[in-house]
Amino acid sequence: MPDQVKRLLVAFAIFIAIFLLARYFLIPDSFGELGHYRADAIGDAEAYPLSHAGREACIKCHGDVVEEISYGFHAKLSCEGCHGPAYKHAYYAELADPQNFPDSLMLNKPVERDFCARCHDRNRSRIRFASDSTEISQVTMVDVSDHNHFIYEETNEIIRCVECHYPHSP
Amino acid sequence: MKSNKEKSSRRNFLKTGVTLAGGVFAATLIKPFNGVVIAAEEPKGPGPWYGIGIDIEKCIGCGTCAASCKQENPVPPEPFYFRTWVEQYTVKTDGSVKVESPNGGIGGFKQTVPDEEIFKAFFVPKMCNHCYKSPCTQVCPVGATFETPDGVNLVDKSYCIGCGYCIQACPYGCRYMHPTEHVVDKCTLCYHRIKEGLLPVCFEVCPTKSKIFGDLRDPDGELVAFIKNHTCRFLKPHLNTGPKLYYNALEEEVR
Repeated sequence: MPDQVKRLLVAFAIFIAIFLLARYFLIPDSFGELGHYRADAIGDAEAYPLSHAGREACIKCHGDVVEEISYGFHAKLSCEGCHGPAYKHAYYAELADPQNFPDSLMLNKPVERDFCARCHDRNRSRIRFASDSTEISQVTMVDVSDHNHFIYEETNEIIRCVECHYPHSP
Repeated sequence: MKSNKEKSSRRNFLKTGVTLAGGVFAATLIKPFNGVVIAAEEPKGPGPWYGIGIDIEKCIGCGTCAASCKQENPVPPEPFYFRTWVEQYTVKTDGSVKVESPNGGIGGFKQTVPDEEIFKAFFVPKMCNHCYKSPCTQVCPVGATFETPDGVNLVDKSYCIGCGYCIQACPYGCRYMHPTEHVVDKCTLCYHRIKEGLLPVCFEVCPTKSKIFGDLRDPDGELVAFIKNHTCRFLKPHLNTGPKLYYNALEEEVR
């Protein structure tokens, strides 16, 4: 065998060895187990912490409110849809002394007119028509900019929806 | 001489042609022609295969889905990063279509066109279609985005190089570049929730239950019942992406 070919073979062997070594260290452990991806990434996605706890967590302490809401129009609403994510709130109540509940974990009680308007402002997009042209809607709607547009003289603030309608049983 | 040569070459040409055609024909008899490459087939296997149903008739455009998604998942607060959002479509009497999505629907919608100019109007909640022939996973150069065996398209954030090719490939605009992590982010169908037996958060908080989550392999499940009982369509079916998001009452105007 000529010298040139020998040298070339050695060069090839070194190149392939480096390639295999690099491949061994660069490809993650679980890559290719289920497909052309890192199978452990599925576990990473599963491990992400929860923020919304669900109604079952609310019932533990606020059973009376959950019962009250179950009789009204808002029966099917998720508590956290209005009050915000409650996982930390519920988890803290379970572990520590609920009497010393930190203010930072308190959930919000939205009372602004705009908040109710998200669902209840009159919008043509929320209306379908029956065959006899009567309006069908998923929700009761009012023109929020017009409905009982009363302004308090002392504070110059507009009257809130919650002053007449109780949100848990409207 | 010249004419002979021409004849001979024509004969040769015909001979070669007939041999080739005959050979191809014979080959098809041995193994039927299956040159049409199908990008992917609906995977078969044990376990659930998740899908989504959205009832446009029921959506009231409150935007709670988009708001709670940002609270459950690490979605940047800026008004142009969304994993799920709502669009308001207004078809006017003159035939033009107005599409709005102020802050993705977070904080609700206002009617911006007077009643008398509206032919019809509706809300369309949008999110990742979790396609099973998804172009986004096919274009990834490093294998950082993939479909799990239960049919959820995920991004491996520790492996993503942030090239953004999948963002361009997704025909539904469901991916974005995360501004601080510099990797691609998208809807995970709240994978951490569904594996705990909870609903994805946008399905959980929907006040009218216009979003239905379920297993497409469960013939008695809620989702299969929804698909059976409604006239469902996909978004952009001509792109053959194999979406698993079934829309009831999807109008032609929706893109």
